[in-house]
Amino acid sequence: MRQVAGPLEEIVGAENVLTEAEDLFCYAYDSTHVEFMPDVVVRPGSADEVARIVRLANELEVPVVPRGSGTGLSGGSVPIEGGIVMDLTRLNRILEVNVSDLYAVVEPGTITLDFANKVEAEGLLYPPDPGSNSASTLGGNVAENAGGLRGLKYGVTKDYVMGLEVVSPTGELFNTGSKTVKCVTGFDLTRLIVGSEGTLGVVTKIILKLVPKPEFAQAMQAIFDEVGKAASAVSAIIRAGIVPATLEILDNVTINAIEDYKPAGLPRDAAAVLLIEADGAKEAVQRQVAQIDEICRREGARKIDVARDEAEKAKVWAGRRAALAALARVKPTTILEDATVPRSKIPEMVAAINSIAKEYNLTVGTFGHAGDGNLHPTFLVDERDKDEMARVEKATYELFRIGLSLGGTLSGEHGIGITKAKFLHWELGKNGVEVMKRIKRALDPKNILNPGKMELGGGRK
Amino acid sequence: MIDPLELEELVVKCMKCGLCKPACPVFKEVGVESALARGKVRLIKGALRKEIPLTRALADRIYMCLGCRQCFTACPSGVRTDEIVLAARSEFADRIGLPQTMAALRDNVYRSGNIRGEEKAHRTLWTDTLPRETLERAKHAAPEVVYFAGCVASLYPMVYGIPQAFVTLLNKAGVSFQMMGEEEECCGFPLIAAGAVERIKDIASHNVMSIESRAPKTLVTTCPSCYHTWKEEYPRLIGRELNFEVLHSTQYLERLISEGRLKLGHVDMTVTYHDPCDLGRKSGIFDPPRNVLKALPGLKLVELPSSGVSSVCCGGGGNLEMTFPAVQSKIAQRKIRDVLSTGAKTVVSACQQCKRTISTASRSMKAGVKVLDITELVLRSVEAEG
Ligand SMILES: Cc1cc2nc3c(=O)[nH]c(=O)nc-3n(C[C@H](O)[C@H](O)[C@H](O)COP(=O)(O)OP(=O)(O)OC[C@H]3O[C@@H](n4cnc5c(N)ncnc54)[C@H](O)[C@@H]3O)c2cc1C
Ligand code: SF4
Ligand code: SF4
Repeated sequence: MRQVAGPLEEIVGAENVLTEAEDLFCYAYDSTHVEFMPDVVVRPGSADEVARIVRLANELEVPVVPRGSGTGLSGGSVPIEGGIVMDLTRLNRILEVNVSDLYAVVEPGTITLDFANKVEAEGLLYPPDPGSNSASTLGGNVAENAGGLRGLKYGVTKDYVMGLEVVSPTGELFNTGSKTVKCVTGFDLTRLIVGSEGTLGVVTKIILKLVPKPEFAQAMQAIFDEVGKAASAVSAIIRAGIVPATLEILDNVTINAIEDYKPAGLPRDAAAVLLIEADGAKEAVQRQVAQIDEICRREGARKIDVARDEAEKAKVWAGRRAALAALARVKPTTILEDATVPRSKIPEMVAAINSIAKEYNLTVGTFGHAGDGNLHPTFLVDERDKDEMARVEKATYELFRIGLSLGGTLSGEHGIGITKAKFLHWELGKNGVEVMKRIKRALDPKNILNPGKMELGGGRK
Repeated sequence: MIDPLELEELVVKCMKCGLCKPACPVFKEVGVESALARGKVRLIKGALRKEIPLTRALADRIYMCLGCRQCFTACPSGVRTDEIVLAARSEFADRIGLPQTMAALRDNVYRSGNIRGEEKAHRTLWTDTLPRETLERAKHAAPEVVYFAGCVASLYPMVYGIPQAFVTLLNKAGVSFQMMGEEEECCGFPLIAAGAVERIKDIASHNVMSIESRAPKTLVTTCPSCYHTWKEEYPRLIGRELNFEVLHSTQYLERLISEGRLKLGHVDMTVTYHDPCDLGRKSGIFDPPRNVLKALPGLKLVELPSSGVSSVCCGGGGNLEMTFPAVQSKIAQRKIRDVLSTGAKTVVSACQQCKRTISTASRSMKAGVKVLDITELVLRSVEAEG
């Protein structure tokens, strides 16, 4: 790979090219269990450098894999064919926060939470809040179309991307979208790039939409003895025309894991807890909370607690925030999925998750965004137990099949990457996958950018 | 300290989520994944499982860690990267030896009982300028206190002021005390950080016996790392409780003040307080230093942007100063910027190592930030009272 490292050094400087085994080893992974060694890591400092690197890769026919913080949960930034890992974290400037026109311009390596905090200091809100936001990059969020806790009311990353600056797979810089609220000029290339998982272009600049910060928010939790009742309550809330900012569910295994780890006062015998937050104008929020309270009671909630102050609100969310950590402590390895179904199908999905776990003799804790049907069944295993790992693979296979049969989707927010690639045709059909492949071939004739992902054609010739 | 045998059990807990990223001060400066807690843990796991050859270069990477434990506070899986790193250093040292700087450090301690390899007699040089009466009191036969000064405070003139201030305060408070003088030997903490632990049990027993022969009620250290080692490591290393109490100077000063044994005068100044990692996050001592500062009339305390359990290491931990000095100095410079952001011109710490690193950074940046150890500040207040 010396023939690649040399020219790369000319582009970005020797200090920004990593070739030692110890470095490469640490860019072989993201947050999944898939690992492949890159041949070289490059850390560009400008869009121009990104473009030159991609052109060089085309010339030498070496794969380039864009990488943000490597917190992906589908193997997106793992270089399964080796080649160049392009670490974009040096491009981390917030270039503009425009309070009058409600947009911001950022570079892709900006950490999501740093940006959200900066925007909040200006009295505005950037809603997408993936659980990994303290570490993930906005570029990674765009490439995965990341969601978060506020998805129900505020939508996901794609709903906030107004425009992009992109380096194409053949190394030309182009812009999509604009800073205006409306824009119908040309194809909606912004939407094509968002969620393309680094296969159709390297994002080098992002124009993000901002919204005013809601004046008031109130949180509550409702405890249920049956998952089915909790799920009916979710449907009933939405049917009543109420859209809470957040509507989360924790199942019994998760509740117990939390109580073992950082007790949040959740009843260990409860089948499910709904955690709900409404935001907006004060009177409206108070009215909504009263309505939600009534609906939950009617749907059979055993107990409902409305947070009376900031401290109680923090307590409601402490449990949810501890969920993954609590589950992670039960066993060494966690396999986190993001099965998503129409929300009315949550009871069936939860039942299916539990019966699959039973069938394959696995422990599973489920929590997630009940409001948008996006659940996070989390299998608790030990990576050293080969048999268990084989069983978990079969279980996730089963999970995807059932999710789809319920009218759901393979991935609500974590993306397809490698881990779900082989199931893609189940959902899109042969023709759907073929259309994606044609787009890929048209933009990336040599299959340079992040090859082997999303069923777009593995491997260079 | 953990047993290398437990290593595998600990590294496997890392789920590679990357949430340690915003926490790790070394990663913040270096920017590449191998410097992050996640990267180091992965490299250690890889070397243990022979997925990657254990080379000198790999072992050296594992020294890019302050042992500051900040990653742990951000880690959902409760991965103790600081402890994993220490155990790995010792495990890898067994297999391929120590890095040169660490081998030299070890040889110094083995040969001379101190980290600099200086003559034992040099350990008392800091007392040369103290008044005779002060030292007289230090020879008390049945002392309340034995004061353990530690290598850095005894051997680096830049921080002589700390032990000098502390023993002066003991005098002013009428405390009967002893020092170990030339008999004092390195507590062993730098060896643990180096991964050179083969004689650590002997060192612990030697030090414990030497203190027990003086039969004090209390052992006080001004060094948070010595404190941590005496308090947490020694009982484990010698397999029993110590028969004296171990306190850090901040705790002891808090006690003297609350008992009214120190008369405090006005110190009209605004300061900020830096929590040393070994004192705060690693020993849970956050309130005593603050209580001491609050007791000083006229003193205004403004907190750093990150304080208490999220205090950021000054760069002085984990022997990083010896293994990766350039990274260490960047971390210290960030601390100076944090101090300046509070508006205070003086930062108080409770650690000679913090004082050294932060003062050095202030000087190199021409930032004009003054660094005082809490003992020095309390002495100022006592002297102001007359
Ligand atoms: C604990 C935890 C909680 C999480 N919670 C959520 C959640 O609530 N919601 C959610 O949606 N996800 C969540 N995730 C998944 C993950 O954090 C997101 O997918 C995130 O968007 C990845 O960002 P990253 O910067 O780490 O990207 P990486 O993992 O580095 O890369 C992800 C993909 O983006 C591509 N990419 C990165 N930067 C660019 C760029 N500039 N241009 C083009 N392509 C690029 C890569 O090639 C790759 O395909 C979670 C992950 C963890 C570990
Ligand atoms: S102990 Fe400190 S320096 Fe070491 S990995 Fe953790 S945060 Fe980084
Ligand atoms: S936060 Fe903990 S579990 Fe996550 S990558 Fe860092 S050390 Fe591993």
